Amino acid sequence: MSVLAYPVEVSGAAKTFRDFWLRPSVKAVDGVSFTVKSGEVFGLLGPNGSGKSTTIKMILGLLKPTAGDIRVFGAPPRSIEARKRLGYLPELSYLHPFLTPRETLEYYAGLCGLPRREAARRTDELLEMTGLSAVASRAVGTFSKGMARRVSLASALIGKPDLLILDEPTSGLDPVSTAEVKRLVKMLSANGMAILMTSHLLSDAADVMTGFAILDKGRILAAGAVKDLKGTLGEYFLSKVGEGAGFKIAPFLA
Amino acid sequence: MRGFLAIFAVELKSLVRSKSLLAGFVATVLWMWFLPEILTSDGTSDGARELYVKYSLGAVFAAATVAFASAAAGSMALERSRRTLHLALVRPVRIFCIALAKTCASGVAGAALLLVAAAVLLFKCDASRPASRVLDPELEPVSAEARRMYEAYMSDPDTPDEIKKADRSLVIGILKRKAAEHYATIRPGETASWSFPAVPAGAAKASVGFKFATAFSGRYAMKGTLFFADGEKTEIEEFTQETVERDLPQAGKGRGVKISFRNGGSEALLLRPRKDVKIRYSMSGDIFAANLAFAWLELSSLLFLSVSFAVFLGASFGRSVAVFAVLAALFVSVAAPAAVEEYDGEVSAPRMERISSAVSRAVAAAVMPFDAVSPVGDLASDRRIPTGETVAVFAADAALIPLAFAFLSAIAARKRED
Repeated sequence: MSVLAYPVEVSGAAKTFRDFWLRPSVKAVDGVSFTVKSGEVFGLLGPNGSGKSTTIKMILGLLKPTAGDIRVFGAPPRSIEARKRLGYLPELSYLHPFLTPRETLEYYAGLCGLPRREAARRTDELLEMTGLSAVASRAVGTFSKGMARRVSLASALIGKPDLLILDEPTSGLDPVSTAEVKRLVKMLSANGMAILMTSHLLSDAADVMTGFAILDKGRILAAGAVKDLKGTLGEYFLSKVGEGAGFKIAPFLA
Repeated sequence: MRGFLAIFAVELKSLVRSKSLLAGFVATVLWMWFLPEILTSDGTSDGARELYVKYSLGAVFAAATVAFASAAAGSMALERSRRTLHLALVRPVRIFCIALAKTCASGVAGAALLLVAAAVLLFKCDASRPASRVLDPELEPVSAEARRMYEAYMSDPDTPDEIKKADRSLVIGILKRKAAEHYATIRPGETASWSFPAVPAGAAKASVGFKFATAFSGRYAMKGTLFFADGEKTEIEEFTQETVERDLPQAGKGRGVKISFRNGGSEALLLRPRKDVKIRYSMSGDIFAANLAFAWLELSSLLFLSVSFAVFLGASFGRSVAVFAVLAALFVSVAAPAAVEEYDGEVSAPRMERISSAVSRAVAAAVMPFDAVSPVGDLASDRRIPTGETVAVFAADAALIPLAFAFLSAIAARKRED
């Protein structure tokens, strides 16, 4: 594994799901290629069912590509080397409901192999940073969606990752917390962390992203840098994907 | 290792915080404590004690196996459906480690429950009660006797054609089971002899036990003379079906023992040499408390085995399918050997019955190494559980097989994700 390797290299990745009889049923991703550099906030954008989540799962090593190649810091995504440098915030907060935030963070610190003392220190830091110190001993099963989201975010950061994958990071957060998360993302990327994120909130995404790729029907429609856009990211997105795609409103209202 | 410990701790916390473990402990203590109040026996205190040990610990083991195996199968599948498994899989920890940690957590919790049961048992029973080691007579192997019976059947003109044409291995299999239960007949005035391996010179107490029957299985007042190799003899007068126990003369220890019995009654006596004649002896330290420790270790190992299989099913299927498959597998593994023992007439059976019989036999053969271990029965009958057996059971059921299942679970979980 080279230290100079890109945090994420996706070349010609494709994923076809098969049915019970192993016949190809859905081509979710079809020859996607892009790279994410250190210090970059790269957005994977697209309408529902465009292949964003499948692409992210392949980068995380949860799914095996049917074709193409994916490298995380030059290593296969399923290798221990790649996973040591990776943090992941899923779209929904998947937490053990009977654990407290402190125990949750200590659990993930254990999975990341952090020594006990460092795990305890890092847990305290992240509880403080996410504003969860006061409720650190309450079971997360009793938390609101927004508070659970904070626990998930802290869990994603516990292993000091070099690559952070955020799936709808501001989903379920109030405006103040959303602003804090955006500030955090900017700070982390300024410190050299590579960030790959998806978001449907294009105005929020445009505030933090530096590069992006727009996916539709498993293919990349467009890619580039946010600073090079003439108008807003939202306008550009709609011009590529098409307004009202999938909806037939006019006949319904008639 | 840190990853393994983290998952292990979370699994244990899940069991503790769901209160299911606490409920299990309370139910176990109540069951173990109050069972003697509802258990009826043949009236002897030894009989009552044997029933108590057998059904108290046996029931806790059965319930713990079903409960913890179901929980372990559900745990892996539930983590997949909750997606918390995904969050573990993207960390630098191997799936093998996840499966093994889940197995160990459920296994340790189950072993703790069995330990509670064992502690109550120790409190309720005499801890210093002697446990005996058993020596069986030196007889020809069952397979050799079965082959001999087969040759005799085949050369007998009265043997039906369907048996002569039947598959040899099938008939030999039936004859093996018959040989294990084979009755020897001792007619009035006849003498039967059995040779035993040496009783260790340091044995604290040694005795020989018999259980006779008659052709009609009634309670017949039998009598006869027992001869020991050194010319010592003792007269016996007892009802058939009762166990006759006589001390072995001191001179018999340290070398092979030959024991003969002359039927002094007026009716033929029957006896299964492989089941009804035994020498029992004790060495120092052969007490109930030590035997209970061996039994606990064996039962915990068997529980580990069930749990590791359950985790494998949980990694392979959805929660409901995995839990159902675990329960079905546990039922079949218990039922198949019993069905095979009860039903051995497949030579003349219809085709479907022969197929289902073959399936039962295959399952029984697969579970035979585990089914052959019966620590609860040995503990109840004060038979000292052999140390070698406990070591072998622990190594296989609590270490090697769970490791293999964890490996298979990792493959199954990955395949399922893809």
